[in-house]
Amino acid sequence: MEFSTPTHESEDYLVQQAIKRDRAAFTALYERCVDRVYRHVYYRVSNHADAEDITQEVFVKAWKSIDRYKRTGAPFVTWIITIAGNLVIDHYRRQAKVVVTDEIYEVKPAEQVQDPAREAEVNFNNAIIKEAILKLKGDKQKVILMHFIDGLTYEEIAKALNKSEGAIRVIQYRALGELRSLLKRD
Amino acid sequence: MKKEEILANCIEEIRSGKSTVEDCVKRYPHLGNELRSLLEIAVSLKPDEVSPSPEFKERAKMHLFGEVQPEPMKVSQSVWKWYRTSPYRILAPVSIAVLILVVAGGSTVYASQSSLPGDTLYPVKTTVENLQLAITTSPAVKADLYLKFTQRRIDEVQQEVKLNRNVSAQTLATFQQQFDDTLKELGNSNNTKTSNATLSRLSVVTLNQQVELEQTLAGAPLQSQPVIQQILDETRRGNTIAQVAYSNHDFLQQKPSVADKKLDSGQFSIEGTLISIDGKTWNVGGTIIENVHLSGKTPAVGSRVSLQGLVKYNNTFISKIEVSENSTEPTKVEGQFGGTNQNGTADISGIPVKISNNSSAQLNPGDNVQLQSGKDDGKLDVTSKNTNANQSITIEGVLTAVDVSKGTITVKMTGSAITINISHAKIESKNNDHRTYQISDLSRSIGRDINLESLTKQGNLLYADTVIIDAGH
Repeated sequence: MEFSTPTHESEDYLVQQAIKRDRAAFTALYERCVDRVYRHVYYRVSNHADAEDITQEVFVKAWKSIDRYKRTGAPFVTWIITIAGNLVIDHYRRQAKVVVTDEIYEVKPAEQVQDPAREAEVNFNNAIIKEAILKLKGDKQKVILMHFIDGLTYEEIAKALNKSEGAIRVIQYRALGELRSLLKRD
Repeated sequence: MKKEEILANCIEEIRSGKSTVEDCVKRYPHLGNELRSLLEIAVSLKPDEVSPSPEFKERAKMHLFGEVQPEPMKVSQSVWKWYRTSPYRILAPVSIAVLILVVAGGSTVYASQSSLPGDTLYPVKTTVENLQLAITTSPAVKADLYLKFTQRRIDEVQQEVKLNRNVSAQTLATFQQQFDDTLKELGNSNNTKTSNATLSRLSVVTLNQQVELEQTLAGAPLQSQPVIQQILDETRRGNTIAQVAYSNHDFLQQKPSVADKKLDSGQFSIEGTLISIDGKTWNVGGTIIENVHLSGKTPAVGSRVSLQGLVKYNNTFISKIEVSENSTEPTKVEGQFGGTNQNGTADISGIPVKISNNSSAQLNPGDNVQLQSGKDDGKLDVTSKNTNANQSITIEGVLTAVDVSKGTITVKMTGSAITINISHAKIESKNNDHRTYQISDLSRSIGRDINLESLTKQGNLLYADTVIIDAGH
């Protein structure tokens, strides 16, 4: 299943072609987005096997529903990441089996650790922060993930969420404030 | 300028390296500590440094359009007949798998995922698994895949029991092989970070598998019980291996296997003064421990150490170490009595321990024992023995959070966080203070060791019957 991928084409052009069921164009979009989508999913599920399964499913679903894509001015990846977000939620809902895989701790190789106590504390803090982000609701979580984890600009987030940039800054301010409260409580 | 704009500008400046948190706080003194605390949180928010493997990217690309064939074809009986009888199946399993993917289409492959051993589509399921393995070169990713497949075998066992089918010995053999392959690939991996993440997952997955299998075993038909019991024993060993290897990667070089029953008797703990270290030989309170493997800093001679670990083929792998100042507390050893060595010492989990004569007379091989130094003759006395090994499923970890309203606690174990409901559990202190504790008392024990015993699962939550905490002084 080989396709010549028009990687030099603009994203808009590729999206338009993909909507017309052009597999090569969609494959090119896949190659542009897959790393960021994987990173987003991994952040939320914290293990490679599930991150791979979900990432794969994201693109299959995106290809199936590409005709429903509406141009917002935000990069195409934001649409894909929205699908990823929904699939992560589905994943946790149907995960009756996997009760305990809340693997939120970053792991460091013992031999590279200079000060194990300090490193453990840092890892622990990272894990707590991650857990707190995932406790944020609605747009607050979306803005934090999009800005800090997915690396989107305020402008891109604003377009993706159909809000003004000012509104995004306000949401960010409130979300960080809520994170602070959550972290204090924990 | 509004607060949110100042915050947003500062975040961008800090991320681009133009300013520091301190610069921003100095620039906007009226926002003071609030700005500092928000910026400190903002700078700590970073994505995990992970990327999908090239193998996965290729595999996912191949799969992109596989789910949306306009008219997916089913595998015809003739194709299956050919598959089962052709001599080429042995020579070219990967080609056959590719053929299946191409001919069968995504929906048949998808349908095969819920098939069980003996079903027509089961060979599609296993062949697709083999294909996934064949096109994966990274040992760490392969290990993750094998681990995922072991969980599928457990799911199959549970499903077979539900449908009143027999669980075959072949399932046990496949589970064992895939589990050992997980460990083998982890041993081959040079990516310690990824390996540790998989080991962390492995310890949690095997814990979950034990709880599920124990409940499945209780309702299984008699003829399937021996196989399920063996798989359960192997998940228990898998959990031990994961915990030891997580702390001590050297262990994977010993090529541990979940079929190795010696792992059941090799776990020990010892607490005492570290009298000397000679190369890899440690003397802890008069007990000599050979070929010690420890990740991290070696403790100072003269300190009091508390070690947990596993002995395998005369190598001692330390999985947990606590160091404190020397004290006059007695030396304590815990492990399984394996018999008396030629030189008269007792074999406790593979460690030669000098024990008093009247103590050794009480013991039978297989007894789990606790020993403690008493007199000045350097010998240890048996303080407790348990002829029936406690097989209840337990968690040993560090308490990280308590949610009194939900009756749950979160425990960190081998790098993973696990939430357990303890609303009906008996909570005791390991200090034997004969007090009854409530969940609300546990917030004082956050950051300390905790043991949870007799785990069960209801819905998607784990429950513990007994909780043993370190209540401190």
